Amino acid sequence: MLECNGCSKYQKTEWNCCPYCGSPSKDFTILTAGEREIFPEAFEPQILLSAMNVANEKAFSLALIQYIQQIIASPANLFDLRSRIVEVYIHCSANPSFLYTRSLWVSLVLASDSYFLTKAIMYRWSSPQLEPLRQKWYQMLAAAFLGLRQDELTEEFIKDWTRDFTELHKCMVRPLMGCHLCQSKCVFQYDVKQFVVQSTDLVEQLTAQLSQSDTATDVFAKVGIEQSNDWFSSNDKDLAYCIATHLISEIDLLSRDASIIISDKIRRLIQERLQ
Amino acid sequence: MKCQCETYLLLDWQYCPVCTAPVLITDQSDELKSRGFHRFPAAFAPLSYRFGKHVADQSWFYATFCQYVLLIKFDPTQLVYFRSTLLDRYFCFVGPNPPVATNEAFWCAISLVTDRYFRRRAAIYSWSSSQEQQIVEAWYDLIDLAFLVHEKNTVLETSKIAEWSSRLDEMQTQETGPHLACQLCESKCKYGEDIKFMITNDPLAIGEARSSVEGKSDSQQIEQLAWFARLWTERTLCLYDEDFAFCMSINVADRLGWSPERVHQLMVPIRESCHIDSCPEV
Repeated sequence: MLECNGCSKYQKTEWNCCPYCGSPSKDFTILTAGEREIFPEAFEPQILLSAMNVANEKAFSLALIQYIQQIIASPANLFDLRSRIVEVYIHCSANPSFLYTRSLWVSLVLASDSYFLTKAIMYRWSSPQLEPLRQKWYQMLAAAFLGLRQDELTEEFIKDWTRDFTELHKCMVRPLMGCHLCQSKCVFQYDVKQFVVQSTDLVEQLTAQLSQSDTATDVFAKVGIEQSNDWFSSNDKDLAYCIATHLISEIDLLSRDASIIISDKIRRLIQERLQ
Repeated sequence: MKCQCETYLLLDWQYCPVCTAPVLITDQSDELKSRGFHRFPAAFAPLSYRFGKHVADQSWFYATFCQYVLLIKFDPTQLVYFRSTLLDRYFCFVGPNPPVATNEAFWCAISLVTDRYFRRRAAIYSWSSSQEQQIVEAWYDLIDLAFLVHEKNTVLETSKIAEWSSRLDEMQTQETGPHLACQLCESKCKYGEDIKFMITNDPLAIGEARSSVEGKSDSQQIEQLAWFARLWTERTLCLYDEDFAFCMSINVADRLGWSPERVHQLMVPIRESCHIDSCPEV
């Protein structure tokens, strides 16, 4: 990840100057969160190239988002669900060899970095806020995928990371209709959005269902709970509600007034069902 | 916000990171004209002005402001209570962790919207500039107490608010309304402008109204229209007002493409179904 020397704000690689202080891109420094030191021999030019292709795949970045959310839902998922990442990696890479550990590691590092960077710019995080968490994240990945220092990685460690990372997202923003009812503003917005815009099938199916039945609230509450379980293995009320709200806005059939009315009912239904 | 090179920019960026051009605030003339400026100059500092203007430019924020002024007519205490809804809308548009103080950018947004609202009123009701100035100043006196922090303990009397809104009502009184059917309305023309704006602001709502009246007989259509108007009236005002619902029905009918003659023909049954006793339960 890049940082501006002048104002310590995060920068994207394709930028020519810092949007805050205007210093040119030659004044950017690379922040390594120790990810290269953990496994330096992996960062060879050839591996880097193939890993870059994998990290740029939508499926891989979605799998990573899913993995992060699953860990937030339950710390044990760090180890239990890593096979899913490996699966998606094999699917995305052009010629997976049996020695994919290095390439997988580099792909994970690159994809995580781009995930953190996008969020850091969106949420206006500064590097002192995010860097410790990013460091810890690589420590977790190293334990899960490289088997390094596993004994240090207690459940407590993962829980602390989860708590701090969610805490960092807390702000007053209300991007959608119905956000005023949510109690975790705004932890899920970006991750949910990435999944919702990808699921055109689901949106079509819901649109068809909506025109047939009168019970829109029931449909949305059900799909919110189902998808939060399906996508993120989570039973969080706010996550289910976030998915439902994003789907309403994606379907774009209901007026503001109507969405506010039904989001109230959806919220109540979700709360009842996820007691 | 977008740069000339089509890059999307965050509100607090000073430079476009792609073409390196500085992001300029092109027109800050509003700032000098705004009467809110003198009451809280810090709110109009460049960064906070940028956030405030962005929020004030959103039509949904303007629609909420219209609702705010309407509500005050029915319940003066809403001048204070409805603040939270306005603040809620403010947070819809600023993005996560805005680098400006909320009270500053929010005051800027409110001032800009106020100016726009009363400028529009003045044009429609042909107020003289001194009339406009009086009513706007009186409005600022009210929201100054409701929104800004004061060193001295201040009391906002409901009688003053009520007095202000009855003065506004007086200044909005007209002999005729914009539609033929307006002759049946008893409060010409307090609601026409706001309702028209609120309806055009939520385009999908007309779709909902259309799907509920389509393919029905005349009497059923009127019933549906009244139901829709009643629903919207209650959601907007938190109470029921016959003239408001009637105005809403006529405006919706207009947007649905009913000809003025047809609305004129059906105005009596429409008015009757807007009557509180004959309206179907929501």
